[in-house]
Amino acid sequence: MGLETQGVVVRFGGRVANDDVSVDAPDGLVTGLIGPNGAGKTTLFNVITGTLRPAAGRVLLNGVSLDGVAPHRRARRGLGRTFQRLELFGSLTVRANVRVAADWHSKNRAEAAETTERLLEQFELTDVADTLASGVSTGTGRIVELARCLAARPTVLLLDEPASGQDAAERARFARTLRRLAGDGMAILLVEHDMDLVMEVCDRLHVLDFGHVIASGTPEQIQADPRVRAAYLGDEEVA
Amino acid sequence: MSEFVGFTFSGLATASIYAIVACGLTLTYTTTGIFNWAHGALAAAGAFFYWQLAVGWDLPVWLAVVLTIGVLGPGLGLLMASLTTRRLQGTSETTRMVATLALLLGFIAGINWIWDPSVQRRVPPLLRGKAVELAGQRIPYADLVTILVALVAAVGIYLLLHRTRPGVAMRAAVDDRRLATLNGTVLARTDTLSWTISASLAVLAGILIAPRGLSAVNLSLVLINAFAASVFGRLRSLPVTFAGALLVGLAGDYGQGYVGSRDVPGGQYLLGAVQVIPVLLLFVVLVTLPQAGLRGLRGLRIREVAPVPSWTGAGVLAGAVVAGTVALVPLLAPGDLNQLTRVWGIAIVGLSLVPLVGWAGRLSVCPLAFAAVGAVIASHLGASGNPLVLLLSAASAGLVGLLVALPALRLSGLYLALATAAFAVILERWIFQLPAFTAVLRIPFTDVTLYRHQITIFPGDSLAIERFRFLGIDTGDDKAYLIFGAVLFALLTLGMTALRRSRYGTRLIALKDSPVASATLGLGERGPTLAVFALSAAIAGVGGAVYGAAMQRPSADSFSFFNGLTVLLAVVILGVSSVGSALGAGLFLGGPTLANLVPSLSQLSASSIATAGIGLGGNPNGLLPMVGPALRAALRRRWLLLSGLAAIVAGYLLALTEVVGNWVFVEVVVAVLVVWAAAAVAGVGAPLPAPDGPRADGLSGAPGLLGLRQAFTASDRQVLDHHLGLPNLPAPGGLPDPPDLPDPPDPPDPLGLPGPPGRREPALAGPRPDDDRGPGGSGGA
Repeated sequence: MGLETQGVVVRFGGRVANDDVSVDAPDGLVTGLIGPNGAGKTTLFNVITGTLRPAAGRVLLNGVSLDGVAPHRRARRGLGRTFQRLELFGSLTVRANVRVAADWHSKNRAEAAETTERLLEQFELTDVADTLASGVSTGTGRIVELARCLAARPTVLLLDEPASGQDAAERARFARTLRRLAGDGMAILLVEHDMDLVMEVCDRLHVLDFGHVIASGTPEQIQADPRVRAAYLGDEEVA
Repeated sequence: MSEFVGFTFSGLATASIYAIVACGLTLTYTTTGIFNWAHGALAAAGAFFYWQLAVGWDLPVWLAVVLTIGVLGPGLGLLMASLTTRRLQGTSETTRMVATLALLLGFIAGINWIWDPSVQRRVPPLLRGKAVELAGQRIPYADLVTILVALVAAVGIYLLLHRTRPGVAMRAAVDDRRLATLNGTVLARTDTLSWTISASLAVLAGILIAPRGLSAVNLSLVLINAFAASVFGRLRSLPVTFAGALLVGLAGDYGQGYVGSRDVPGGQYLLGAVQVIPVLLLFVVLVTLPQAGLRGLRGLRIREVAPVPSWTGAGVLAGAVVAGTVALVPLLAPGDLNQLTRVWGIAIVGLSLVPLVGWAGRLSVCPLAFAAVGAVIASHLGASGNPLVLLLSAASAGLVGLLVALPALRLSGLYLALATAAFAVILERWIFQLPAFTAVLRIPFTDVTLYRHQITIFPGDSLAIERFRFLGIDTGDDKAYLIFGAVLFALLTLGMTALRRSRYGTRLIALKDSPVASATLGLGERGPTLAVFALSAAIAGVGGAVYGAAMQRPSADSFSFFNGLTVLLAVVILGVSSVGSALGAGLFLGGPTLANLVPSLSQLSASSIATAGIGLGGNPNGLLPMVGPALRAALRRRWLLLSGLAAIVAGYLLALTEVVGNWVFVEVVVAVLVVWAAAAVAGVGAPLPAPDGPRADGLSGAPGLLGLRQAFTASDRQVLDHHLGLPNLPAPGGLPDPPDLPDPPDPPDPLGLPGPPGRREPALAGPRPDDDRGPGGSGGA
């Protein structure tokens, strides 16, 4: 089932940030959401997670409307998210960042501790586990956010530019992680500007431009789509 | 009818004063982001300064007015600008509020220092005796002048903001400070300008309000009414603020006029209520304000840190509190003993702020108001001396805390703090002044009475609170009470430590750090915030009962707003995230201080706290977290710890056997503490700088120093190239070999464009590893 938006409209004053945006992110697939800066990608994420109320349209999680559901209740229903501008708990250690999420989604302390250690190890954060989250680099911070998000056991994962600030090796590892999570049945919606990463990991893509969905399809279809080329590349031919 | 006209004009005059104050408050809040709690105190300073010139030195009224508005106002504005805006950038909302609360306390202490509050002072109204007749009522010229001045001020501010270049710059700074800078606005200049205007408006209001009575504390409190007007305008809109001031001022004067002047049923119970109508309106507005959006950090660098306390540390503190008290008791003279019994009540009230302010980052500006609730309950229900009444105190204070926090919960921390201030004013001005009433519980529609009791909440001027008796111990004796308080405080610190170490404690800090990230992890905000506020109020309630029982007949003044403020500031200055700060606040405020020895310095403790609070911008974590780690490291040197302890024990034994006097012992303790602090500052026991071993990232030194203080080697270049994903270049000869690194991945397409499908085949063709630690995935670690 996964995640679906239907006809989402968001206006900021006179500007339309999302105009009738309908996208979906089915379970078990990595869905890319791409578009130039200001296309409305993060706005759509805010609508999905419930921190922004749309003027029209609705969000469905596993076929159930999330209308009027508070952000933290959406999270409890399985919606997880990372942030383009990092939102770490800066005065907690990296371990506590993961643990605070694990604590509220585990049956007991032992399970929470086990989940935390497993995630720290899996993402190679054990070296920085006891440093304050405000002190880690942006690239590491993004990994901490992902680990923290996974500790809350989401079924749908929204990732907002997770690879920016990461080096090439971290990015490659990150791509494998995404494939594995999707392989486990998670629905992933990925906003990313690194096209190599997007084309490598995504099964399907939605392209946003000025608040409109201008194309949807497989990476191959998208790359061949003349409208996308016009929006993204300014009509220039790609070698 | 004629009465109505009279009340209307006096109400309009009051409203005008509120409007002048509220507009200045809104102006600085919108332009600098700092809510100025000291705004009312600025007005009080203006009132006293004007009295000094016009009455004290007998200058002509016009000259006194000009000097006050033209010299004192801008001067105070410059002072505020230099003390607040620039120091407080990048601190949390709570730290910013504490800094201006410190200024409030400082101004009041300063005013009381210069103008002795026990001397009666009167300021004649402007244009005394002149009035116009309207509908049979004499409308004083002074009221008309006040209304006129407010209108002129409002139009002036409007023209400034909309028609002048500095005004437009100020409005730009409101929208986006960084963008305004990029467009050529010098923020320091606009900030200073808005502080200057705001302070001048405040002293103007001070002159206008001065004839109604001169008292630094009362003037500062009355002007909390003006805060209600600002909240009407949601601290943004000046026209709505003006309208709010009209409503607040008129409602207050109609209420006082009609209820105060005739026989309204139950009027004696409402007399206090009409005085607090503006504050009651504040609560109404809070309930109707729309919910604030979820906030993220938005690039704010975290400067406030709440370290996790260890059980060892908490145990040592609790043990030292009890052991130290038991050891000290035989040394103390009866007078000192009696004075010291207050320490634990204040310390417990201070402790109530640790989870709320230190961990959850929410501010309650009136801890002593909740303490007063606890004390009243202990007084009315604890006549038998059963210590279980403390549980009732905790429960009722916690319940009241819930009611206060509920309306402000959806809003930002500022509104919660405002709600607590409003609560303190309502309590002081109305509830505690209520005359005796009879509480009757009757089964409806019958004559069967279940309960009938005559209640005076605050009889006379003081409460009678019984000391506790249990298990054959009577704490009526000061020695027993001191030890009882120490044990209670020690137990509560252990409880706080358990809370901080639990998942609830971590969750509170997560909520403070990023409400929006907490929400996306499924952690709601309202439940925990409400719970921690109620818990804090409950602990304060216990503290109030213990504090009250220490004095046995506490006056209402012991629980005043300003005494509460000193407790709050002392705890925050010492480091509100650690329980040790509560102990420090208790000792400093409850113990015998310099003020007892030198009565002329009675404003000293308040002004020293205020001065330290203003410095918070430089170190928002407070004193203890700054000194703590260094001190702990120094005391890990056994000889230092043991020699110090030996000196204290020797001094104690000598004092106990009366070989030396108590003061010698005190000097020994102070000397040991000074030596320890000096050792900590000198870095004794501090970890040595790390030896030049291999760095985890493979570089030969810190990245910022490479090529400057340290040679930049070929291997460094290779490591950096690898991290940047640049192609491998052959190292020039003669330099050390690069460390063994995994092959760098393909260089990314510099344009980041979608490549043809064929290009990504290799990446997708290979089998996907089961875990994410492939050979190239370790990032060079």
